[in-house]
Amino acid sequence: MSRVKWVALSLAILVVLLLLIAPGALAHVDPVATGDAHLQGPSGSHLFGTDLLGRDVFSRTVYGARPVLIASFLGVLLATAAGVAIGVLGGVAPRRLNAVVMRMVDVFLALPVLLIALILIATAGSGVRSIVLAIGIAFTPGFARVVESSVRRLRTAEYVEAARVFGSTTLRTSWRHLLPNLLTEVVVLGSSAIGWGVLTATTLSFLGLGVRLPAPDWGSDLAAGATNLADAWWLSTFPGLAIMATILLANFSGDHLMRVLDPRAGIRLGRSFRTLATHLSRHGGDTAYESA
Amino acid sequence: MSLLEVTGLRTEIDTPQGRIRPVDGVSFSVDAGETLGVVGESGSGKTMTGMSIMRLLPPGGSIAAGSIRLDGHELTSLDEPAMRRLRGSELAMIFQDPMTSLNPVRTIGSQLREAYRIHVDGSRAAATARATEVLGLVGMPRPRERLDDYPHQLSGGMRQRVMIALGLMCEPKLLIADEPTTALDVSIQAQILTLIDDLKAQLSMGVLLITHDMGVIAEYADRVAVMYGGQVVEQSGVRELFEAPRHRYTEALLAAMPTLELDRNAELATIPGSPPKLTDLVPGCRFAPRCAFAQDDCRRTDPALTGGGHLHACFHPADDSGSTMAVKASRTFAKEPRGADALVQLFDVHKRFKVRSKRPFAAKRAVQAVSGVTLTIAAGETLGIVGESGCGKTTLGRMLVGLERPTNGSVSFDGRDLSAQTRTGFRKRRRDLQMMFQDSAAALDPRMTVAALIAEPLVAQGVGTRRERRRAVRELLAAVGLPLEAAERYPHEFSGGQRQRIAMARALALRPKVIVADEPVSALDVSVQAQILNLMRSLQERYGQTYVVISHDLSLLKYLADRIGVMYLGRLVELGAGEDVYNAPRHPYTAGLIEAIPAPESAKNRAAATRSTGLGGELPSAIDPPSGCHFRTRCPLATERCAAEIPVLQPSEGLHAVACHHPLTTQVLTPAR
Repeated sequence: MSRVKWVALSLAILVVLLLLIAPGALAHVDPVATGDAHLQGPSGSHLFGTDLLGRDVFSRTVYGARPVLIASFLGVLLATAAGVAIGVLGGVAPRRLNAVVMRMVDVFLALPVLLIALILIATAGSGVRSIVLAIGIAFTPGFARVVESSVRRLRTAEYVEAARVFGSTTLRTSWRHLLPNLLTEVVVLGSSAIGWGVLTATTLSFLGLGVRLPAPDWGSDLAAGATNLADAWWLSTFPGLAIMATILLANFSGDHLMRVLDPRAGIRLGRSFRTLATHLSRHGGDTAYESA
Repeated sequence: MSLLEVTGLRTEIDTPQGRIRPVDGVSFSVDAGETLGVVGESGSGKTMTGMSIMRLLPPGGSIAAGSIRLDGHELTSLDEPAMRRLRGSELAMIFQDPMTSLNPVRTIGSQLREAYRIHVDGSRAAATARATEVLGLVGMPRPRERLDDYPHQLSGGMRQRVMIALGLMCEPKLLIADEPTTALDVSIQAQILTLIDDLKAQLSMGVLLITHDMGVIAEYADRVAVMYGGQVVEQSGVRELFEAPRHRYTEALLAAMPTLELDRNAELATIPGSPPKLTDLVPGCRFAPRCAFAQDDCRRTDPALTGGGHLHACFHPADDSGSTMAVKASRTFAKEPRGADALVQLFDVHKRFKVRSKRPFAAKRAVQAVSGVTLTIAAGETLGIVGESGCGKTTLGRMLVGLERPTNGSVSFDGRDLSAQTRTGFRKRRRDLQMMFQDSAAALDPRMTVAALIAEPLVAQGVGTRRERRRAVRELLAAVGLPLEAAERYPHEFSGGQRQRIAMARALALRPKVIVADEPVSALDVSVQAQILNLMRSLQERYGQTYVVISHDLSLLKYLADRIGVMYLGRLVELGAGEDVYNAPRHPYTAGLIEAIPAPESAKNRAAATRSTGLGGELPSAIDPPSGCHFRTRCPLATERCAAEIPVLQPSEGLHAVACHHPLTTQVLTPAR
């Protein structure tokens, strides 16, 4: 990977971490505090302008990241774990059990996300937790389907048969051979699912099913700005751009992870960090750019 | 003037690893009505030479220097549209795999017609007539009806005939055949190569026959160019080459082949190391790092082709002084008395696979992969199983190690029936029954280090502590001749031969009593094959395990195996000591198989070697096999009795047994043990 890409990706991940842990470090204005300047365009004091109630749009965009990112990350994580487990189970199961498991997966695949979210919110109340669950449940069947077909393919791979020949149990083979070789696929799938998760989370809050107002959130802010789009373009545009940037970042880092995780690429994390460390100690910190 | 003249051809390809030169200064010529054999290992540039002539280079590839003249016209200066007009009309090419070279969703007829109408301005009817004619020419039965077939409806041999027909539609002047028979069985290989040879004379084409197989060259080429590392290192008439090879590489290559008259107890001559990687070539002679005769001048300067009629690029060529590639036969294997105890017993083993039909109410059908094999394998012996693809030899091997369970019959090991055991009991039993797979690249998990791979059987069986396993890995690496540093690396970092060594070490980890090796060397280059075969034999001497070697290659088994079993369509048709099966085959099928093998010896005496295609026809379908003797449809001796009555193999005390109503020879040369 080129140095420019490496630096860009590291910076982007740093920003994401800051957005999650300490949004106050990026935006100093309270996102909920109303002000006198209503519907002001972007300026030096308000980078992204202000909304109807005079709240700072930049600050709201920064603080609005957390619910969306948490919902999509955790939701996709949940879906990945459940989907891989179900997919591997279906893949190694005998034909009957496989049929039962996979038809149930098909039924869940047919459920609309909105319906799942509505049911959850009706029973567990609205909020990030319900959205995480909704995304998790809605995305699980997709993962399960892809993983199951990959496991079916891998099961006839010669190295899996070789493991059977020396008496490896099904559980052990799944853990030592199937899972590691599914990794690449799951990572790619997961990173694009984070993009979909962000879209789903914002759509749900756009529809008013997400975090409760006046707390900042990309989806609900986008919705709020939609009515004023003609005379205040900045209201919807900036949360929209933030959503776009997140999805792009998720896909880029997925591609990169895939390459790092493939042993054939010859990149080994341990080795990379060791060389980086020796470079730094030899030339001092200012050569970090080159050695990266 | 020759039909094709290639001078100083140099092809370059830009790859992510840098610019490589797969073809580096190659010169040769082909006359009309002549076959030039181009022989070499993987990466020698033989395919790229053919592709350069056709100008079908991969992305980033270009011809950097040299000239290619066809009938006196320069091809390198032609633009792409002009080249396109030549391809298919003047120049034709046949590829290795006829399945991927034919479009699966279009009929044979439409593909043949297309090949014709691109170059000839004719009507559809004229194209159909021509297609029928050419299909007849390549020996396709009922060509008119075949025009409406799709590629998948034809067998591999028939598909390759269609590929040849495709090439011949416009009567090309030059036919480039790139490993035309590597994907085919030996009996079909003989049919296809003879066909190409006949067509060459009939149409007075020039043929460029690209192959890795010296036997094919010996029987079907008029002249030979040997390639190594992108260069032609030796070029001469086929007889001169086989009688007195000059280049040390050719000499070593010929010595490394397991041949018919080879002494079983002698170690095979090997070429150390592996073929050069084009990304990092050494200066000087490219064979120098592997050559026992290399001097300082070899490592400094690249030798040029010299020597008049018998060209060779070598500073210290082989002569009559007697010293050959020195590694030859430095030791012999002890002729150990094989134990007579029966270790594995197969009794009337059957295996059926259900075939699901696409139509919902069609009758259920089954493929009879193995039908009624009874066999005893003695401790410490090497049993070879030979047969064409689809004969059930691989299924038999898989049943031996418990990857498949027999539908009927029993496999017992050490007196205990494997299928009668509980799951956990059977898992423990697996310690004694191990397998080596054909493609070691696929059989080694790409995400595990070599140390983890070799230790895995021990971990799975719960053998030893972590430290003991580490020591076992070190021992095994040394035993198979790999450096200790290999332990921390991943399989993709090794060459094919080294990977097969890793697979061997893993198979040995549990110290099994039986190792089933399914085509252990068929994916390897000839020069590397010999190393693995020697290794297998020396490890057997050391650890005393029993081998069951499954292969399509009879000459390999004759070298490796004490006894050979011949399979045909699920049945064992002949079983006997290797020498006997080879020298005095009793089943007509075995005799046909032996005849079909192209032998290097035939180059020395072309006239006397009556070229026989061995077996006619192809393997019938295993879904509904012929009644009685399965082989009767291809057998020259078949009578009515063969259709009515199934011949039985009588294993009488390990003697040379045959399942045939009309066996060829009745004398038994030697008792097997």
